[in-house]
Amino acid sequence: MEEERRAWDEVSLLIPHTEYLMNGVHIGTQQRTRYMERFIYQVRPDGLYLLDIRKIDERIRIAARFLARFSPGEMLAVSAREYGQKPVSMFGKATGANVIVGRFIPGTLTNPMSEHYIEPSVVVLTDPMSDHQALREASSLGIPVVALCDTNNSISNVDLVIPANNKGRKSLATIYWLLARETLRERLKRNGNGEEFIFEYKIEDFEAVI
Amino acid sequence: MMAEEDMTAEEKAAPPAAQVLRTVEYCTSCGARLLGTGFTVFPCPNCLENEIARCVKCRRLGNVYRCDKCGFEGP
Repeated sequence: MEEERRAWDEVSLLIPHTEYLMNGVHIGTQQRTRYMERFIYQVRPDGLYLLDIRKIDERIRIAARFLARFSPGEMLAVSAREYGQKPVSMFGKATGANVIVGRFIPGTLTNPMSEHYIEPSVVVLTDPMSDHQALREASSLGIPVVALCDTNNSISNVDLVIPANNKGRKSLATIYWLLARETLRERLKRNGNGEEFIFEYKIEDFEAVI
Repeated sequence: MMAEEDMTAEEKAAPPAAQVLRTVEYCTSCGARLLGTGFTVFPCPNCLENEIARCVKCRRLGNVYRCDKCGFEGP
């Protein structure tokens, strides 16, 4: 039964099940919020909550399909978290999305007089907690927000949750690599030539250097 | 698309990102009428056919929305 399930997973998941496990995409925290309960698979004896890999995979596909609907210039990816800066920059390079890493200057979305002012149609956040300024500005303007949420995150003002470990270096690289690859694939599919797709980057290219 | 004369002064002053194509008038989660700013309207992330609308309160509280066409539940 277990082997059958594994075999099914290998076929249906975006990357092999073991690769998700090795990169720690499913590892949560020792806290959990009520909303994130629905994405939790089990609790380890040491108290760490583990996320359901199938749900992570499904949400990455859904988010990619959603992002592919927007033109590259309409997307904005944000990461204040250090380990998220390289993956987000690479995501921007691969998909053509706008990128803000490090400090998010207040008024970037709301103040037309600011030199950093941009008008995205969708915002992708690495962590709703550390990217709270971007979340606040996007929500006040009614811009849809897609966010990577760990088990301890609040989903307030988030419109599409991607459950994942948003703290690990390898985990962030894996998630953004998958998101970039699937977004490009979906974009090509929408234009009618999705079968010729080859993604030129590897997961290692998205990893932050220590 | 909304005609310019139908827009309120607040909507005209808002940046283009906030001037969403509004074909739905009510929040998908709670049924409240969409008024003022801060609400959002976007296509269903799963099927991209149906429009999902979320009022300010449902966004803030993280209330669940469900697509009528594909049954997708978010956020």
